[in-house]
Amino acid sequence: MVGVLMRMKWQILRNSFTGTKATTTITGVLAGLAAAGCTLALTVSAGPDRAGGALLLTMASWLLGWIVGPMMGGTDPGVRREHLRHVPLTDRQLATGLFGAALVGIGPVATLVAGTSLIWYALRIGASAVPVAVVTLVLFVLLLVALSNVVVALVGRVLNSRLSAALMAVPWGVLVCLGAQGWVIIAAITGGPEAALPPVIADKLRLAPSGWPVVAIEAAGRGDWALVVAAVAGLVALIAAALAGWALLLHRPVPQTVIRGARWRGWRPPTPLAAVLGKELRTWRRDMIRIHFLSFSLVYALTYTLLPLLINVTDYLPMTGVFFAVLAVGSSAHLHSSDGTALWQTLLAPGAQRADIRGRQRAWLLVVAPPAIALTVVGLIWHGRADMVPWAAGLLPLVLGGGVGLLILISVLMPMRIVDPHLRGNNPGSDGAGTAGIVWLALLALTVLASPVLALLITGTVRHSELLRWSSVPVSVLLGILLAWGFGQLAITRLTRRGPELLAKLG
Amino acid sequence: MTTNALRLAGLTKQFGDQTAVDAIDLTVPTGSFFGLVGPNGAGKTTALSMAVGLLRPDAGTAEIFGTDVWREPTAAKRLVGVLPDGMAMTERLTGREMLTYLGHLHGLPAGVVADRVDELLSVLDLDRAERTLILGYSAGMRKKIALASALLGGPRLLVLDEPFEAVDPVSALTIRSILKRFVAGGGSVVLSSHAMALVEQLCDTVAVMNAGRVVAAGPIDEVRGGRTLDEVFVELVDARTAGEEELSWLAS
Repeated sequence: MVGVLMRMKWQILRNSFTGTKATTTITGVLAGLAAAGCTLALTVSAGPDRAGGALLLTMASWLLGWIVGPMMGGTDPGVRREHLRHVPLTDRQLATGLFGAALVGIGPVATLVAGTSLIWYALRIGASAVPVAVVTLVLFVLLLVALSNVVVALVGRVLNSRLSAALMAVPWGVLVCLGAQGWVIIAAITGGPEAALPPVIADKLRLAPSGWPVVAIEAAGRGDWALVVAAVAGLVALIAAALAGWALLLHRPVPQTVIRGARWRGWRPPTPLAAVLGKELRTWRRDMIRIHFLSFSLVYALTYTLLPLLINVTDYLPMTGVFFAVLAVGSSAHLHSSDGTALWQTLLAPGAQRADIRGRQRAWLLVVAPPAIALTVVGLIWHGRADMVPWAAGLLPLVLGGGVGLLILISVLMPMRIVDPHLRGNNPGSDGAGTAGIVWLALLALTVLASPVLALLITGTVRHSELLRWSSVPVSVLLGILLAWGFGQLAITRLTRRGPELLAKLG
Repeated sequence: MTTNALRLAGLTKQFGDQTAVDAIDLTVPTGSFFGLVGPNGAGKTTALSMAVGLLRPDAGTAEIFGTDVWREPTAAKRLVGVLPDGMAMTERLTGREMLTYLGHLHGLPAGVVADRVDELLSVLDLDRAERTLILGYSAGMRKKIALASALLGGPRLLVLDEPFEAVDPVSALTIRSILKRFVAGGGSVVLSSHAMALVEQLCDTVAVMNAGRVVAAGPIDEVRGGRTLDEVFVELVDARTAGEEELSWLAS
């Protein structure tokens, strides 16, 4: 059974290197190899006294990546439980089979390559540690794949109401933010990447499953074979537990969540633009994946700016609204793709392209701008000094205006095939498609668009020129309006001229 | 001179090295009830998508009442109502919300939209699911709401891809009577289907497609030539049916 599914996955993987999916797949391969290369470079180049600490940190980030990654919209499709619903299999067979299929992929290979740094480390310690490194490396990859699948299955089960869609975003937002900020914190404590990891942190990281391979290798070097056996047994037990948990989660298919629409209230005025606006505002309230991503943006922004309060720094607070808006741009840059083939309804309505683009833009602004402005005002008041006002007021209009232009343009220019809404579940982990690339592209492009304003703000701050600092505000407002209008115009032209081609890429 | 409801000339579509639709010519006279039949993969959906402006053809033209669909899309789209097969809709709206949204998107006056939506929902028996999002509709309900959205704009031509698939017998009767009334009132219908008996009962004109080509077209009695449409179809598409000796292991 496992063999059959692994061959099936291998075939799917080979097919994804050709045709329309090839770019996505090759990007995935390159990203995986780059991450593996970074890990190897960090751990192999570290001095003898620091190699252990570097390994503990990088292995912990791989663990975090495997757990958080799927939620950010990046599992490879491949063999899914739904495909095997009618094949007579026990839960255990199903879990083992799907586990085997999940091992055939780019992620596991990249992790395996990165994990060879464990073998490098063992070579430094002594020949007796090498076999231990090989065994724990294999177990570690198995563990990551198993854990990742448990998380995806768990989220699919939990994410069944609008409230839970919002609440599920809390741990992800905090985790990802800590992942991004964590390096900074560790660097702050250790005094830079040159220093060895302080024992306090190293000890904590050794306790996490990602540290067990390192513990086993070091123990083998010292000849402490009891600890080696304990660490290996721990990894095996954890894999078994994850698989058992997964089998349990696979036991029942996830019931479709039913969201009820409201009783009918009229749509005013009866114009195409108002129609799209009404449709979009309702969708923002009813689509759990949209709710999830918005909540994620909010949680991330709040974690980012509230964390420095621990060391009494309030300078970030006024920027909460800007960070929230930036993340909301990133997670909305696939609006058309997420509606799937429903685009035909717009294409068949005579001259509806303008209403579609402008309506979506207005709806996004109505959803995102009020909380972003409120967060900015509250943050400014809490911070209590005027020094951050030009930064917040200078960036927010640009991020909102430029963002709403950018996201709609990316949405029509870079369509992605996502499972149609009526055919997918509620799980961003298994239905999110490769949205991660689009998120990064949007964030990068937004930074470029903001560069004139950033230049004014930075020069003004460095030269202590209030005039320069404050001049960023009108520039930002003007640029924001211009980009929202101009990019929207480009999107309308694109949708009008190439609408059928866009539909073909979504279907 | 009488204009045709739909005229396809030399319409061609290539997917990679496979020709899905190979230079087909097809004429649907005004006021006819036209059935397009063919085996799976014959190119019916591809041809209909190109005919209504959802898929750009590699070559050839499509005209709706003499208006070129690809040169004057806005004018052509005002004349046609479309029910595509298996496509998503605006899933997170209720049926009433989606029809109202489409009505306004098509620029119809508010009063007209409200009246038509009321009537369509009650005729198609969808008014009881007032708070159910399209996402939660059954396959049959999806067909019915899609048909309602095709009818909403008051088109002169209906292009329906598999309108009876997954529809229960009662709803099928309703849809048939709606379509018959539409034709009786001067409208034209093009529908694709696998159900030969249904096409025989409803349609006055048929075309048979196979492997991207039209292999027969004309008034239904001419195409049939005194036999059943089923028999003619099997002969035309050169299909083989399972013989006695095949699948002997089945339920033995």
